[in-house]
Amino acid sequence: MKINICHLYPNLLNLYGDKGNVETLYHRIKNRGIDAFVTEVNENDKIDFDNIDILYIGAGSEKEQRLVLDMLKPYREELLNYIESSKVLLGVSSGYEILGKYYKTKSDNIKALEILDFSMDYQEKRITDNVILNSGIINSTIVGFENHNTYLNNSAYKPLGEYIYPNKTDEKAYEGIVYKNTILTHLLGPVLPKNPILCDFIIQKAIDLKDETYKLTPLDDSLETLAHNYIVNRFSE
Amino acid sequence: MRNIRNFFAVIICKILIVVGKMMGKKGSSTPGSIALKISPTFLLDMSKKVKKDIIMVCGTNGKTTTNNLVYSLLKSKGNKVVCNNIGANMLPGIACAFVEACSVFGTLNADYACLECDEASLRRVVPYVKPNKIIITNLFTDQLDRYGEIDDTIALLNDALTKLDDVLLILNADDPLSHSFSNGKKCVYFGIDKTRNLDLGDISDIVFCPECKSRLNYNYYHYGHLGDYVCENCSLKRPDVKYTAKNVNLEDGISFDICNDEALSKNISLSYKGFYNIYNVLSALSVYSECGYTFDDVDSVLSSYKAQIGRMESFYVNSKEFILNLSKNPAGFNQAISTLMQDKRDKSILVAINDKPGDGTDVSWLWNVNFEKLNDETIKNIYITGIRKYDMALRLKYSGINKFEIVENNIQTLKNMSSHNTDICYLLVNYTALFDTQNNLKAIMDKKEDK
Repeated sequence: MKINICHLYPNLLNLYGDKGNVETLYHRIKNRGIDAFVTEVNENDKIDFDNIDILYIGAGSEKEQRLVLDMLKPYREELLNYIESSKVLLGVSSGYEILGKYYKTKSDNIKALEILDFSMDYQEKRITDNVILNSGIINSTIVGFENHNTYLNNSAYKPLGEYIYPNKTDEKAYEGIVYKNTILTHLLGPVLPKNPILCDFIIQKAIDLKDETYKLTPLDDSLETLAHNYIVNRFSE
Repeated sequence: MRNIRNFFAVIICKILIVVGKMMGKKGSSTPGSIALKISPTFLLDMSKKVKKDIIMVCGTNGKTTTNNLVYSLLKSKGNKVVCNNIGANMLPGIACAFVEACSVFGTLNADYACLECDEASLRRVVPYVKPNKIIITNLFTDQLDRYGEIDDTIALLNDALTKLDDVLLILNADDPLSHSFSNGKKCVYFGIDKTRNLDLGDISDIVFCPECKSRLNYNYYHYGHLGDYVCENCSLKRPDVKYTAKNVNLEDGISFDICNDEALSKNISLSYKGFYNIYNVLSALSVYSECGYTFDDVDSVLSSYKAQIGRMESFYVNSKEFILNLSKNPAGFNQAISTLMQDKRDKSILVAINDKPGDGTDVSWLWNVNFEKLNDETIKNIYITGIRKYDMALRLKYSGINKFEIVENNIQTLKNMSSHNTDICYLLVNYTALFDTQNNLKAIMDKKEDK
């Protein structure tokens, strides 16, 4: 078996150490004895959706997010098909916001790719803090860091998790979106190294599309667990 | 009335500074904040008394070293110079620097002021202190939870610059983001010529044209996004350089020839570590020249300059050299790693990562540092410490480095490092880990007569 990971526009979308998410996916596949390949697709490259098993779209600055949005517009139909056919996508921050109907910035209301049925509103006060989620989807806590002005509005989807820390109420008590095998989140950190259960959940989804009988074997996650539990213990009291 | 308020502001600030020092505080900004509350105008009135130039140093990396070099150069010519060299670089810290320099009656006898200023604070400082010359060293992505995106930093700096009518900008020609400030201002540029096959690694920061957003092509890179660039779409390119560093050599410290546009050339050879220090010295000499001085007598000043706390600062423990370096953002960290990799001796390394507000509470930037380079046979031991030691450990694990120890940042760890069979120890620490590490080193370092 062979898993192809595509890191989309790493030149533009690597603001929060996003390559850490890609590296974690890559190593956790390879350490199971499965062939893993990372393709970096940059501005002038063509995206070959047929040969992608896990698509990663990361975080960039506001300016870079707009550039990426424009570059992806010609691919809208292909990306829609990719998502609807249950292929695996992890979108973080910019890679999350551009897939909805619109996202707001301080001065603009930007029409996004309109692939998924959600939108992002803007609040003046920037949201920056460590985060602990309780995620029913993966039956685990998820830890990370958030640093954004946008917040989810009118989502038609299941959330990735519910906030344990910081304490939030109403619709803001939920983080991220899960639709078919697309996972979208604002969590940075980067999110995957400290959340091996989430990472394996994503990898397993990609494997299921190739061989439903193949189940991932456990790895030595002692360091990952220390890093994960440190955040849980420090902020959950 | 204004004079009386100014008088009290100065007196009370002076008292608070003395009290703070007695309590062992380093570089506190509280006295300055209180003085500005008592009299918001005292700083404006006082800074107007500077006879010649007010020079400010901004930029992501190199502010402290550059500012202190400018201070040392100007002082060597017999000038009286106000300087915030204890490091507080926001408005209250700058207020403190003026109060420390004036008499109890608030009279100031100063030829120059050299002020390091935080990028986000410049717009709050310029209503009180009007600089004639501003150095912008470089702009790199910094702690994102504190500063926001680099475009936000550029906007804040430009907000400050529009408040200044007559100012000379001393800008880094090798940094394409310098173009963001040149609009309608007087500018001179410093830059480094193409070097001969120096492996500085770390060419990560792809930058897009500040004018048209197209991709920049580079004839050569120095590090990060610094180099000789040209936009593939519009005409934007590296500007004409007035102060150039040529013939760079890093074999023993740093050596280069500084050349100005009149083709005058002068060799500078220093024991400083690190390619990035060429920029610090070059920009300091550029502003010094713009103040009307020649480079004739700069050698002794530059070579006797003592590194500030944690700027490749050297200590000896059990006759072993320890180099302490503040490494707090990807560009700075990558430069520190490049510098220690140029040292071919066997070495031990300690990395300390905290996440207090002064450090940035988000540690995702660790994944924008090329720790992969530490996979090297000359690195014999790696120690990981600090509040976010487990994040750092994971970062190393995914760099393919499996041999490291997670330790406490204490004296015992340093003693263990000193007893290893390696030639030198490098300590790379972020901001709030710096003072603790330095204090631990001072507690166990060899006394002078032991050396």
